[in-house]
Amino acid sequence: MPREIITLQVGQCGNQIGMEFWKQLCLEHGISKDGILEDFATQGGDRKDVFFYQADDQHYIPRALLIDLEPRVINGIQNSDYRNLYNHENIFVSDHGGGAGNNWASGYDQGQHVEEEIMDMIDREADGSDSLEGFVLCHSIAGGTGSGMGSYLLETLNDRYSKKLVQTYSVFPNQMETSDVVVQPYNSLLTLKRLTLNADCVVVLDNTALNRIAVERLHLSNPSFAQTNSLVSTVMSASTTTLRYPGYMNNDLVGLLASLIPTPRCHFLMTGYTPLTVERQANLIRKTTVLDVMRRLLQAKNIMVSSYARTKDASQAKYISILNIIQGEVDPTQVHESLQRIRERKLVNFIEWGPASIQVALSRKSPYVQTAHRVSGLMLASHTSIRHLFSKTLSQYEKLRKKQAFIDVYRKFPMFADNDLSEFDESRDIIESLVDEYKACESPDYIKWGMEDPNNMLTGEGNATGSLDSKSVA
Amino acid sequence: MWRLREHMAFLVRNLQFYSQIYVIEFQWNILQSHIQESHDFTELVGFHQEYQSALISQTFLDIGSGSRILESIMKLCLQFCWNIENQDNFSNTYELKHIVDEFNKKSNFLSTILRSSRLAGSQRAPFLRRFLLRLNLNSFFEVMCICVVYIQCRRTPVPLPHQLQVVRLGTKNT
Repeated sequence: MPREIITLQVGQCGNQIGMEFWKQLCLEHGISKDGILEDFATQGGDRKDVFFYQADDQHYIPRALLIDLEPRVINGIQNSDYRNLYNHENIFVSDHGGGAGNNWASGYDQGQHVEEEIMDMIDREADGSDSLEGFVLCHSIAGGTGSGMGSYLLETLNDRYSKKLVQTYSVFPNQMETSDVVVQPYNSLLTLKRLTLNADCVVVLDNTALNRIAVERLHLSNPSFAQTNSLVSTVMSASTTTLRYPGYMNNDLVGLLASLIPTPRCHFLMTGYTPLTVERQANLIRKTTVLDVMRRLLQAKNIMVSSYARTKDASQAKYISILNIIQGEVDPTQVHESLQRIRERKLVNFIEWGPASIQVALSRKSPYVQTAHRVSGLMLASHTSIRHLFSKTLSQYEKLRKKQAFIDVYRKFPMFADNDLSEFDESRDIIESLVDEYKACESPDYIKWGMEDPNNMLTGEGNATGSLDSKSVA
Repeated sequence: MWRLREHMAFLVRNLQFYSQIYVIEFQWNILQSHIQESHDFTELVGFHQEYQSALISQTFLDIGSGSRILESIMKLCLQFCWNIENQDNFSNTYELKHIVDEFNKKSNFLSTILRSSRLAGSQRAPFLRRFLLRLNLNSFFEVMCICVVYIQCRRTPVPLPHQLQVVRLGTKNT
């Protein structure tokens, strides 16, 4: 029985990466741009129904909701080659079409106003599932719609579907150039609170690192959003291959995430991928082994989070858990040799307070997509250096807040009315506590730290500690 | 509680991977190649019996203490799940603590058994090393195992011996 997943694409960024994701899935499953199964793909053996459902006319339709507060990107989808793929009843663009003005409070408030309409769409999609496992939210944390409305959706999903998993693919802003969204630290901080409290797993996609990879590894001088979004969709499709091509283990989302998130609060994951497209040349020459893939996944240059490579803290940073998803023709028993070698060479710095390992999931490749490389790998990892991304957001926020810069545009909305800025303060406290927790994970006696949790900041909310356990057990 | 869940999940996951990939899959491939090459049914019966013996041996089903400890560990996991599902307010902390203690004791005992010299010489050895590698990739259980055994040794006034004797004493005491 499949465990269905509903994908929610929120905001411009969420819809752009979602669009690339569905393109990739159609290619891999032999589904045409109109949702019709190609003649060469009728023998089956894959599990399309995790992400698609079949309509009465046999079309395959993504289990997806396309949500935005301005029409540009969704109009682009509706005018693209894939316009017949999506269920038109699952598309929401706000009536006024004016967007959220890069304002988290505006996105959140508009989400509140259209809650029933969107939840009706979600309920209808959930009713069409036999055995719904959870939701995947694609969004950016720095804009207005993906951050604000995405935050509202996270809270609402927790209320209404508390037993379902919520995973997000969250795009973090590029910090190496002046952002066109000057208030992005405010938006990021407020979103991070919801990602901490209301999500079970956050896959962090750092635009700083994605741009670096596009420039240094793919040799693109000025990467476009479409190109970095393509990297994101590569990660999204690779991380779901074990769900769509089932094997012995990691066949569902909870099984995939349970091994990666040993402590529910530390549920922010970074990703690495190899080979990135430019490596195609090298792989034509020599055969790629499992050890090659696993070793490359541990190299900083292949990892899509910029804080990983910070040299001044590198010696202290530790892996909490690693999952390698390896696609292609590999000998399963090679995994052992690779683990042995990685251990002997001390390529991985692990935590000391609990059992940790590199989980390896061997996944089949789509037979319909031709690639030059016969073996590829994705790494999903929980690593303590993720906290530097959060610290950066905190320091940027403090600068703006100290000057009261642009606060007025938030005061216009109910959450911040009457000069009540406690939501900012609470968010800052929660993220500060999260940073402290990741730092404590680097210490051998983290267990003692976890028992203290002096402010009862996270456990008191009820979701962070209890939700993963109850869902995992259920 | 999340810590216990993670330890249980870790052990079960690696046991599953070990059994599926290194035992069943590996032995099945061997049997398949024998079937391809064989022309004699009697010989084939022998190969199939070898296959079955290997499965039993490499999953420790023929070691009384090993299979009993595994079974009791699985029962503890099920007991833990039952408690979580039936105690909405997590009020039964005493029983939870009992499960924690029992699981720690039994998983360390399992670790000791797997390292004991009784298994070292058998056909299990290469596969067993793989299982132990996966369980102990970051040396966590190694440290824990030594600590537990040391605590037990402190009850008798003997100096801490080197590692091999520690393991033996641990086996004897438990």
